[in-house]
Amino acid sequence: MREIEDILYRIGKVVVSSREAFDTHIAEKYSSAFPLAIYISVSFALGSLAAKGVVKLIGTIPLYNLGWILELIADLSGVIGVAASLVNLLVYASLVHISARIEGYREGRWDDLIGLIAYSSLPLVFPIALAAVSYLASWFSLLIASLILIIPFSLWSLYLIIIATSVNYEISLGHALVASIVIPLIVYLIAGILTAKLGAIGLIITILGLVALYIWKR
Amino acid sequence: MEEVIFMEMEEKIGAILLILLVFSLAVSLIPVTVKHEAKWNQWLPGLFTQKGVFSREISSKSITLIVDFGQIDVTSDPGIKKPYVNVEGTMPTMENGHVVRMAAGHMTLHLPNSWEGELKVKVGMGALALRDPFLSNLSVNIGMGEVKGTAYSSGNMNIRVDSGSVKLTLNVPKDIRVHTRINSIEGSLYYNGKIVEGSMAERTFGEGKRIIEVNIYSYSAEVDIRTWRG
Repeated sequence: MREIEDILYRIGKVVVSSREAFDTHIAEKYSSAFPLAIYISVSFALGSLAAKGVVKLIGTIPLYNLGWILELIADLSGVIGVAASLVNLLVYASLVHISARIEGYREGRWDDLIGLIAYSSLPLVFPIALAAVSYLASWFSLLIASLILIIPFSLWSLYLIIIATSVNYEISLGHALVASIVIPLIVYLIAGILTAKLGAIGLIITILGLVALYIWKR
Repeated sequence: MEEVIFMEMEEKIGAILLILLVFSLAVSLIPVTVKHEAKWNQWLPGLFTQKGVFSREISSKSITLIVDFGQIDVTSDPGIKKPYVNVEGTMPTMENGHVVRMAAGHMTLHLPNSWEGELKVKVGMGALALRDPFLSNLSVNIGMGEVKGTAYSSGNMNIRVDSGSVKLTLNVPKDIRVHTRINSIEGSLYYNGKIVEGSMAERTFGEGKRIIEVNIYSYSAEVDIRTWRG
């Protein structure tokens, strides 16, 4: 019973007082398995409900020939969502970690950051639950509203990631913003431009550049 | 001694979040169903590469045209003896020599004069244009779109457009009675060019032993029944 209460407390604390929750997660050396389970569940539900919602909206028109493709995409959307989110989590957490090191901060562990970023997906539960209700009731206007609501709740989630970076690397919110948003955005932009110009070689150059910077700053 | 369960605010919020997450996860496992009839293995060969134009002659007296997105033209061609279809679109196929399918694009069915056959049309989103074809039976199902044009008919006509309009001039032989049923929010029924009824109309025109049925279901309908000497 005590364990369940502890789990509920840790979840609630992320929403009520995220800095304290992240501090405790690192200090108590909690495993990242639980936040990862939350992250995977959120990713599955988000991917699946978003795709099924859109398919249900389109499905009001009878698609005699293409309907099975839509059904197939919708049925696989949850798994695709989880796979894409896990790849994104690993790539993004690595980018933030490298960014913090480039900024000169020696504290903070990569695997702790994975757990904290995974926790940061919690606010998305609210619009997802709304989407689930509207999907269940075939309430299309509410479904569209809940899909739109994902945007502000993603911003909340992004704010939690900034706090997580600040706690993990013991840096100010401003520097955490640079490490978790600005530098990753610049890297994504450079990777995008180089990949568009040079193809796969452009992506490899970006990765090699990041690795070189990381080793140099270590 | 009775144990009092006291939950802190964080625990309550955590419980709510966990319940919402489990609920969302459970709902996201419910499969979605879309109305369709094509099988996956029907399209698998060359699925996303099959695109182009084809023209096929049809011997059957029953023709079915099935399109997801696009326009179908049905036209009268006095110079031909057998019907033929031209398809310009994606994923075109022909089954059993008389069912023509296409995902998106434009399809034209050429019918010889006085063709005595049955035509079935199914469109997800798009239009059916009738350009003076001779038909004995017509069945149309459109999800969203319109049916327009002129046709010569000696058999039953069933036209259903779930969201959209029907604007049709129907020429029927003079010795046939026509039982017309229009189920539309906005509608007008004409007989030989003169308006006789508005929406939700049910009327029988003409004299003769044989009777044909004309059923229209759409948001708006404008149907003119004209007698024709044949």
